[in-house]
Amino acid sequence: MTNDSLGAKEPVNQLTDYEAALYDRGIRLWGVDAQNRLRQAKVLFIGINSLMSEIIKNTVLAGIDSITLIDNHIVTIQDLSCHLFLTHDSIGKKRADESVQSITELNPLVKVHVVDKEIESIDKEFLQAYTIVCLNAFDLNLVSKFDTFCREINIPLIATHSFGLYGFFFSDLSDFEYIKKTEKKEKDQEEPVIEYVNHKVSFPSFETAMNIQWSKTNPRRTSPLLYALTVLYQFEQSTKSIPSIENPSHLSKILEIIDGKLSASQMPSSEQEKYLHITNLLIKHQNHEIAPTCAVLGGIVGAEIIKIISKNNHVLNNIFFYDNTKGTGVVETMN
Amino acid sequence: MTGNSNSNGGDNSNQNERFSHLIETLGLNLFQKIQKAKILVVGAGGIGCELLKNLILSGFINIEIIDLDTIDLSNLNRQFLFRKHHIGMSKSKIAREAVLKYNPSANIVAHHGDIKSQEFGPQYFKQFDLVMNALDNLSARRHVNRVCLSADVPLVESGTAGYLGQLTVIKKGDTECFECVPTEAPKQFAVCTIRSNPSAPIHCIVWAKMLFGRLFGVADDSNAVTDMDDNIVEGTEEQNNIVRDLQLAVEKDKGYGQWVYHKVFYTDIDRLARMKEMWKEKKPPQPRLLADIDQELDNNTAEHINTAQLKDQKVWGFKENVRVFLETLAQLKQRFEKDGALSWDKDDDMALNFVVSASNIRSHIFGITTKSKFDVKSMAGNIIPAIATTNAVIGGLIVMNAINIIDGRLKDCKSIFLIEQPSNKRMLLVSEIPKPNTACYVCQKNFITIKLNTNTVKVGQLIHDILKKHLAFSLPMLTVGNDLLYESGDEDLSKEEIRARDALEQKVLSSYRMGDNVILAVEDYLQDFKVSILINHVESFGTEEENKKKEHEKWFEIVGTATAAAPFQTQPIQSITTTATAYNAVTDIDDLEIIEPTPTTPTPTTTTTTTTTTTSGKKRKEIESAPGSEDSDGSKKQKYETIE
Ligand SMILES: [Zn+2]
Repeated sequence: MTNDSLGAKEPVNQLTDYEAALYDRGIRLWGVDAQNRLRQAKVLFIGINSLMSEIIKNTVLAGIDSITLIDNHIVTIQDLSCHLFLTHDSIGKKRADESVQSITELNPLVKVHVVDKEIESIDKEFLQAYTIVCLNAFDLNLVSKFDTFCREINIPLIATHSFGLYGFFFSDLSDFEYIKKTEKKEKDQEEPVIEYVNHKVSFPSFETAMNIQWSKTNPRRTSPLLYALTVLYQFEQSTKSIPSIENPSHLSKILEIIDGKLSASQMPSSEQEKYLHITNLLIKHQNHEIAPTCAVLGGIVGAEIIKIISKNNHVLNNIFFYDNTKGTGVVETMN
Repeated sequence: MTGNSNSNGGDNSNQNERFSHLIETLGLNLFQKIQKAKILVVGAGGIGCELLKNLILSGFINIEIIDLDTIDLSNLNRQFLFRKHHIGMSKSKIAREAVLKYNPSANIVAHHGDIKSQEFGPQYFKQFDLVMNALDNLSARRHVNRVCLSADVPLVESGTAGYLGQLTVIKKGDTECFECVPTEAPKQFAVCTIRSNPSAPIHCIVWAKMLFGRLFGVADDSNAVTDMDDNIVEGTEEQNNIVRDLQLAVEKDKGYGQWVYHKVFYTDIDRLARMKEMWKEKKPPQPRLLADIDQELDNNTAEHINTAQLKDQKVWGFKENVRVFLETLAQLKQRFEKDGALSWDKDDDMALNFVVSASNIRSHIFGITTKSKFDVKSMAGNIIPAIATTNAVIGGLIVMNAINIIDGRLKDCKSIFLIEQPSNKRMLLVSEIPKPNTACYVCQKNFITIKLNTNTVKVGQLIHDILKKHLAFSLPMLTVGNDLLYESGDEDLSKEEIRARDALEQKVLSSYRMGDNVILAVEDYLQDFKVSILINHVESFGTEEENKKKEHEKWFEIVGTATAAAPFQTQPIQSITTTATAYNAVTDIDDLEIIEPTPTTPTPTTTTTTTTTTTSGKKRKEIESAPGSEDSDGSKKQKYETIE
């Protein structure tokens, strides 16, 4: 992690009285130290779609220092979808620029920067300035590239995307340390006993997670979305392109990947249909963002970013899948 | 009321382009149902802001919002539709304006008002396809539950607390109702613990709030912590051995502050300390004279703290507490003389300082740990920390259930819990919504028994403490047979009638036709809810010995599925028992002199209980197939999402 090692220096409260009043409810939940850490956090957001707008709302409200947006995409009417910051007037303009004003209104204490940069041109030196990087995971090759950068410089990465009624986020904190406060209440005592426990967690890289052997999983206990995601990853990695539902050669390639994974794992080929179905669902809806999915996933990701910055609570290791058709949200740990 | 005359979404093609992602995902047919649906959102706070945003962005255009509240600074960490310059303004109206920006052609009506008021009765509810609760207090939620049952409108219930959240759907006849399962009773304290024998900071905080009520509010039984002119510290008149604290009169002459200080921290404490049998196993409290305080060391033992601290998290020393106590006492006295009775509010800094200092001085006296202003505010104000992310998740899940209901797929609705850490890989625990509890007095049986002493309990206590606070009636009307005994509400009554009612409230039950074995019909036309109550006379609860010790700790018992009402600080100190023998009393009904047969709602109802404070203690049947069983692709059972 960063050099801000846990509990090394005497903590000092930086919060003003106004901040203490504004963030009162958060402070009562996660504590003053966490609020001070949030106050110093600089978060980089790459790809400001509707899902990302939810995440930004949640982190900005919590009271971070600043956010930086990167997104030169030109806004279309479809992009308005369930976006929290864009309006009809934004159409035809750059998405990051158009988001700034609404974010500033949301919490004027948080500084909002836009960096006019193509995502492809970002290098790891650039990423070094941030507490955490949050990336839109539409392009899985891009996630791989950013993950490699972030691991090298020890910056936490969250990559997330929604596909209509489904969504996921991937988290890589490499070697992550945090201190969790626990309160134990003995039967006869009125006051709880407070303990601080150090935790260390190791995260696999995106590549490791995506290359997991299906045989190492229990299909009855694992989200089918995980299998579909590994199929998409292999497709994008081998073809260097994003799959399209309208391209028959893409679909036959998908089928080939699924068959390959099934046979390598000695799973029955009758399972093919199931995995094909869910993979196709993701491909079909890879550009569809709807409000309930973005709200739920954006809430979970927002909470995760706050925990990662605060370093005082358990973090999710390492992929979360949300299924809006059932309301289920599960964490798969690839190790 | 602020409506928008344009009722149907304006330019349709533009609408559809804007919502192309939604139409691609849900299908045009369902999207059109969403656009036609008329929905009511009760509450525009933490969950409400998230919910309204999600509804508008999901294509809903006919929405009414009701909220009584105005915007406060501490809301802005999560209620993202509000800005600093909105502080003090109506939540429902500002929320309406804010979400209209997402869809200017939506037809949103905002009401700044109380959901329990007459304009929002069952007739009003019937116009909606769906009601969503985004409320933070139990009594309003119970009220909406009853109105929705009466109007037969589906209700989505939800609540959050810190990292935890939950939601469910209530549909008359098909599911549990909100009151089918009793919510966990808020923690309550025996009167003697608060008045005479505190052992924890919270006991002193409750006492300090009662003292505030006694000094600056309307003095009644609920805040009888001291009698300002009583200077007896030992003995009784019968035994002719009275010892008096003569200093009290001297202090009274010095001024109000000295008088109150001396009374509650010297005279009352001296009296307690002399009750030797109470202090056999612990140190007796130490009465403190104001005159001695200057000689005392300000022994604020600063513990070693390895975390950063806010100003309000510093614990005051004893002298500091006394200084603040005297200062706020004087200020509050002035306000009381100018404005009349005050009610305690955690956001009223002066009132908070009073409780902080008074509770800490009492803690000092009893050898209890003192607390910072920050902590006292949480405890006294019963603050449930609320954050944006939890509300965002719950707000999203509510809309998913709402869309299922609009699509006629109630069977696809689920009860969902959001938890802090994954349990068996799951962050969201999904369960089937339980069937109605056949013993529920709200949606099923409409019959309960109340045990109390009919010769001592007054009509007013029955009305206010039992019917309103514990059974969540808003405007109860009592009849026995064809005779109307009591009517709530001031609107239809003349001044004389109200005066007569006030006098009536002072009568004991047995002297007003509410003796043992009488069946009362209690009706609330706002809730369109009726319940029959069998009065059971009992002399006392527990043995005489126990009662002597506990004073008036328990004075009634509700037999039935009564749910506990408000948080402890607004509650009379007693306990409610929820026994398994819930409706045993009903079997004796034929032996009684029944004046009017009670109408029981013939149709079973539904509901699920959602508490803001806890998710424990609830039975939940988790769906075993949750994360990853064969049909997790989710497409087969759903109408949308077909890929063939
Ligand atoms: Zn019920």
